[in-house]
Amino acid sequence: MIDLQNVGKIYHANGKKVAALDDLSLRIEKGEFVVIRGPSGSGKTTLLLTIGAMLKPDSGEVAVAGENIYSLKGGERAKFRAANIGFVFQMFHLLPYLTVWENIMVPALENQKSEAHEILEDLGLAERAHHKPFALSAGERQRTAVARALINHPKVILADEPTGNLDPENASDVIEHLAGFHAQGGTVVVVTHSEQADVYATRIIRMRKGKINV
Amino acid sequence: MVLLVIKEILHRKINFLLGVLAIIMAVALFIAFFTSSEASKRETIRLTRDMGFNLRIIPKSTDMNDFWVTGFSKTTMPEKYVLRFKKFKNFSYAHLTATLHKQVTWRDKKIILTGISPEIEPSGKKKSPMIFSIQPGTVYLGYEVAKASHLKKGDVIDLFGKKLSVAKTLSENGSDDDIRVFAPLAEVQDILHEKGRINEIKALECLCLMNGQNDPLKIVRQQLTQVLPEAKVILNQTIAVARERQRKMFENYFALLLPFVVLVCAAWVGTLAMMNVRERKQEIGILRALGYSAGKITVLFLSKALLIGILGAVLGFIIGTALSLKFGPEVFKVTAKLIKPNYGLLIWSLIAAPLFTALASFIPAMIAVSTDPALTLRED
Repeated sequence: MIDLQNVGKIYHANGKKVAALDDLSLRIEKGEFVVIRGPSGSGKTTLLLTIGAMLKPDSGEVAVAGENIYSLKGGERAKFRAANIGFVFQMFHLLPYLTVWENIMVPALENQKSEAHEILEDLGLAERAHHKPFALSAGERQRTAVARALINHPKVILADEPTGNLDPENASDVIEHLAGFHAQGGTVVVVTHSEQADVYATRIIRMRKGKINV
Repeated sequence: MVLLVIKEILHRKINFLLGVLAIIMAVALFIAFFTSSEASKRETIRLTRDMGFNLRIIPKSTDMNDFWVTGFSKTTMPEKYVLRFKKFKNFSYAHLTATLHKQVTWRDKKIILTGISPEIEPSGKKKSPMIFSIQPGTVYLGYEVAKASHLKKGDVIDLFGKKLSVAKTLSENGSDDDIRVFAPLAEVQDILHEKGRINEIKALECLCLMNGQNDPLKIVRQQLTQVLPEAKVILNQTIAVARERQRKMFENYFALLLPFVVLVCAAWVGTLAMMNVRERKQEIGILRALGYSAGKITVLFLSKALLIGILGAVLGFIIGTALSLKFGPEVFKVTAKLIKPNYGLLIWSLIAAPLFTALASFIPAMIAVSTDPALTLRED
C-alpha cells in the first residue's frame, strides 16, 4: 500500500543541514493502522507529508497504492491526493469562511451530498452543518476535519497529531472515528504522542533523527 | 470554486474593498477626464463652426497690404482650383467654398459684392453645410445694406442690370458682412465680368491638427502646397484655437498624471494581493492537501482580481461620469448638456480594468502557488 525506499529529506536551517528523513525505508500494508511516535524534530510530520504527496523527498522513492507519486506531474499528483489520501491536522485547518457543510464539500470530487449527510450524521455534526468553524468546539472542528478527510472514500488517512488540541473525551472520539475507517478496510497512519490510539494500532513505529528505531 | 471565491471575499471584505477602491479611483479619473475632454472638443468644434471659416486661401500673388486694407484679394484665380481638394484624403481642410468679392458702389453706397459657390468637401469627409446656400436669382442682404435701402425679403432689386429677388436680410453681424450683398457665385462672376474666376476659397480647419500639432498653420501650408501651389493660406487665430490649446494643456497634464495613477494603483492592488497571499498561506497549504492543483489555486486568486477589476470598472465609470457632469463644465468651460455618458468607455473599462488587476495580481498569485504547502503545514 505504502512503500518508501531509501527516502531522504534535508532541511537547511541557520546554515546547518538537518536530515528530517535519513535514508528511510518503510512499508505499510493495506488495512494497517500505524501509529508513529517520536520526539519533536524526529521527522514524523515530514514522513507523513512525504507519504501524502505533499513534500518531495531529496532522494529515494515513494509509492502509494502502487503509484510512484513523485513521478507524477503537479496536477496529476493533486488529483491523486484528492482521490486517495485524506488529511487530518492538529490545528484542524478548516477554511474559516466556510460552514461545516461547505468545508466538507471543498475536496468533494463529485456531487456527494447524500454521503456528506451520512458522514455528518455519523460524526454527530448534522446539527452544526451550517455553522462556521469559530462557532464550533475543538472536538467539533476536528470531527469536521475527519469528515472532510472521509468524503472522497480515500485509501489512506494521514493524521498529524489529531488529538493534540482536544480534551481526552474528544480525543477518544476522533480516534474511534479513525478506527471506524480502519475497520472498513482503510489504511490509517497517525502521528501522535497520545497513547489512546495504541489500542487500535496494528503497528507502532518510533522515529528518531529521521530514522525508524527498530 | 465560485463559492470559495465569493465566501473568501465576504470574509476579507476590507482587502477586497480597498482593491475595488484603487480601481474605482483610476477608472473614475480616466472617465471624468475623457468624458469632459470629449465634450470640450465638441464644444470647440461647434464654436469654431459658429464663428465661421478660419482658413482663407487666396492667390499667391495677392498684395497683402491691399488684402488687409480692403478685406479681399484684388487678384483672381480659376474657380476650378477648389475642385482639387476633392481628391485628397485625411486633409485638415473642411467646408470649402469658392468665393468672389469686389468692392462696388450700389445705390450710392460702397458695398462688397460677394459670390458664393456651394460647399465642397475633401474626399472621405461628409459634413452638413456650414454656410447658407443661395438659390439662383436671389440674394442675401447684409444688415446695413438692407437698412440703408429699406429692403426686405421678397423685394426685387436691380444689381447692375440683373433682377434678383431678396431671399433674406441678415441680422446685424458686427463685421464687414453687414455691408455685403451675397449672391450665387455664377451671378456675381457674370456681373463683374469674371467668368470662372474667384479671389478666395474659404475653409474651416477641421481641428484635426490642433489635436496633435503645435503649429497648425505650418501644416495647413504644407498641405496647401501639395494641392494648390498657386495659392497661399491665412489662418485666423480664433478663440477656438485658444480653447483648443487650453484643452491640450489639460490633456498634457493628464498624460503626465495617468501613468503615475496607473503605477500607484498597480502597486496598491499588487500589495493588497500580496497581503492576501501572506494571510492565506496556510489556506493554500490546506487546499493543496485537499487535492487542489496549482492551476486551480491560481484561478482562485485571479478570479478575485477579475472581480475587483469588473466592480471597479463599473463603479469607476458611474463615479467618473458623475464627476465629469458635476465638475467638467467648470474645468473645461463647456455647457453641462454637452457632457454625455460615453458607454463605449464602459466597455473599454470592463476590458482594461480586469486585465490590469489580473496582471497586478499575477506575481502574488504565482507566489501563492509556488509556496511549499508542506512547509506551511509543517510549521504548525
